[in-house]
Amino acid sequence: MQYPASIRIVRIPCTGKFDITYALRAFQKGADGVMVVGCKPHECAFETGNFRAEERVKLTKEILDELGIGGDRIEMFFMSAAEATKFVEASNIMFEKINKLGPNPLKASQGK
Amino acid sequence: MADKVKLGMIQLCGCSGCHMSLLDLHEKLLDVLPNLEIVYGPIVADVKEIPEGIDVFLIEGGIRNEHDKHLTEEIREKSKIVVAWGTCAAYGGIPALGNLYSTKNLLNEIYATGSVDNPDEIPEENVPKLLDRVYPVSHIIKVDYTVPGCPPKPEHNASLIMALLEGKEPNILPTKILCDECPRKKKGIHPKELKRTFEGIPDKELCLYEQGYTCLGMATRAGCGAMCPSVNVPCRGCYGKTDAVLDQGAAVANAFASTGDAVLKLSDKVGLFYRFSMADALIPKKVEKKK
Amino acid sequence: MGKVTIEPISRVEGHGKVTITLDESGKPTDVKLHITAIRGFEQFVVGRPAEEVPRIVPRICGICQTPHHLASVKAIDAAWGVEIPSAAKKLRELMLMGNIIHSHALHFYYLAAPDLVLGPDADPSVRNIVGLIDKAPEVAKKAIATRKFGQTLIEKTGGKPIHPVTGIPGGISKTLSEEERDAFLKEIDTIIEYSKEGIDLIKSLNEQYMNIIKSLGTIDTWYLGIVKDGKHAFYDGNLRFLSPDGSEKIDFMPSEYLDYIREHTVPYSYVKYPYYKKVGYPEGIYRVGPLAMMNVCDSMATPLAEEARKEFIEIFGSPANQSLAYNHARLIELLGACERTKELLEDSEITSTDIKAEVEPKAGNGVGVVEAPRGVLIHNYETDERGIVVKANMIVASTHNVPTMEKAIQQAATEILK
Repeated sequence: MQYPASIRIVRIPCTGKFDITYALRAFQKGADGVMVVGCKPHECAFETGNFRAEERVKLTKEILDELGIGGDRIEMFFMSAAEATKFVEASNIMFEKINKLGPNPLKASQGK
Repeated sequence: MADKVKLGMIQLCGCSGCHMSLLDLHEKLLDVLPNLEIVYGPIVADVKEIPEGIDVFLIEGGIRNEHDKHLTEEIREKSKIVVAWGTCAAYGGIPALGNLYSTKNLLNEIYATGSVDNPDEIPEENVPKLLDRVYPVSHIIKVDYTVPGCPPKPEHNASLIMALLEGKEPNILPTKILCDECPRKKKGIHPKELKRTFEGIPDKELCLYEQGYTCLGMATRAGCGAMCPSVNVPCRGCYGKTDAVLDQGAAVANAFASTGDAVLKLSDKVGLFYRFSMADALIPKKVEKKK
Repeated sequence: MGKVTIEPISRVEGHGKVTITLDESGKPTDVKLHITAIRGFEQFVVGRPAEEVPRIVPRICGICQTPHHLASVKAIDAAWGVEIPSAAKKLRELMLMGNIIHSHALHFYYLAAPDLVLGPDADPSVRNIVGLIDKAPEVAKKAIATRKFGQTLIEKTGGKPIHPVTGIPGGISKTLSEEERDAFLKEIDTIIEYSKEGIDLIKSLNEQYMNIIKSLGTIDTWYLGIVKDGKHAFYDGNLRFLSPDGSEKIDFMPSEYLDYIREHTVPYSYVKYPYYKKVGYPEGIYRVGPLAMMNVCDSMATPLAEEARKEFIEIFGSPANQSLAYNHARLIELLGACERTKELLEDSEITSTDIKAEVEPKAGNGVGVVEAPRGVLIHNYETDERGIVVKANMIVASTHNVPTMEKAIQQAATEILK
């Protein structure tokens, strides 16, 4: 059971701490996709951290669409810390999706 | 006071509003000007070549074309202190909204508006080529100080110049957000709906954002004295980000995300969140789709 | 064959250079004015909600931001079919007067006067506002006071002295308090006095420089300005073209501008060259701004300015074709703007709180025109049903003037280098 080797994990104490800056930073640095993984709905230790992240991810999608990077490159997933299988599954789904989308178009435009 | 300070000033991709704001010192100009020797400054004086040995150079405007870039580099070589003066120089300002279009589309649109009789012509002779986007001055050269604002308040200009005259570090900018100096009352809530500025009449006492107006005060550096909210108009972020923030638009988006679906319904999010700071954004231009 | 390049053009807002090509004997064979910057406002307002545009376009020019703000909001009012309350209209007009006062004081005293007061041959390092303060401190103090009055007027009506923000579709967002009004009323007579002194000053400078005024930059062109019932108007009115010899007057509504004005792109300048459509390019190039306004109007709208205009005609004729007479015309407009400011301040409606009509965004096309300090300013937007801008066209005051500025420079270069 393995998640794709090209995934880099950035730990944050709670997805409630997820800042849209992090996602933009990742794309600026050349990431092809970003997955935000939070606790299951209604299981957040701070009650709404994961929902707050979900709202931010939804808005980030639209910002990325407007910037021509594409909102499909960021997704929110909900799972508990114990669900390793689910994480691998989600990673693979995201990996497939990004593979289809191709590389971050920002890299191509900077390469010029 | 020692010798006169040799001052250079220029407007690149800006509007001259920062220069005007310096003139808005009005009668105080009579105290400030005698201490300065304006050795270069096309808006107010006729010297054609940038001289060597400038003490302080104020650059208004961002970098839009090859000539702007060339002048910026020349200014750096010839000046001891370079100031990114005003929001265009610091973050791109309004002209950096042009970063949401490719240079080609921008030119094609301009030279084919409704009144043009020869829409196939694009000027190319004797005019500097546009860069791919607007850049803040600090992306091209090392900048010693940044004084944002569209325009910077006259008193900020005065403090800057007085500090430089006395050879002190100019330390003139508040580090707080605009909300901290806004007189409007806040309850600490997020609005359920967002309104456009012409919808309804805003309450005169309450926070504009909490009333549903798209005020950017929470992501904007204090300093202007909340001029826009004071006249019932939401802040558009012209003083740029605070020191604690990397990307002004993301800071706005983080706050606005808490309105849930309301923000998702908003048209032109990037054009609002990055109204004055597109050139300085982590992703500073719209990426062109590959054909 | 030689070449002279004057770069940068100075004491102006914007970026330009002049190139003069000379033949073997040193006579100019080709003179061109190149406007060397472009930012793309006509493109990057597209996609923005229309009500945001009046907060964007002031950055076209930091000197005449207010007319851009106002022409823009007027264009949206027109596109969305909203009639604004009359108090809002007066407050917007007062804001515009503030800008005319500031800009005309700046343009004449800070930018143009150093050439006249210190002389065209003065050392470039002193031929500027600093030099003027040294040479004529009393004139400089009054200029500063006049400009300050204008800027404060914008601040109290527009929220900010540079890049005002209160113009919103349907009206204006800020009332003028009685206290604020009274403070201006207390000062306005002094400012009117200063403007009258300005006219005395320009009359004596005219005498001193009449040879230059009569020989450099005298060109015959069409003229374009704004008139209301034939009178000189800043905020509202119809457009009027006047033929070079003054025999033909063509009045039209701002909304019809595309039937009368076209623009031609030239390969060597980022600015587009506007011309009077019926005459064609390049014969139909025209001048706007104070000189053109003196020529196109039947009379000024206020008594002191009208007296001054009559004197102006006696000196320069009508239509006046001397580019250097712009300075005198500008000071007449400054006086007119001060008089109009007083009328508006004395209007009981100016402190009204009825300043905003209800407005709904819709698909539409609107034209907003005001007389900016340097001339006719046109903003034209098309919006979709959500009120988002889908097309924009702007013909800015100095843009109208570029082709004729080039012609004036050609004439002057030929005269000087003969």
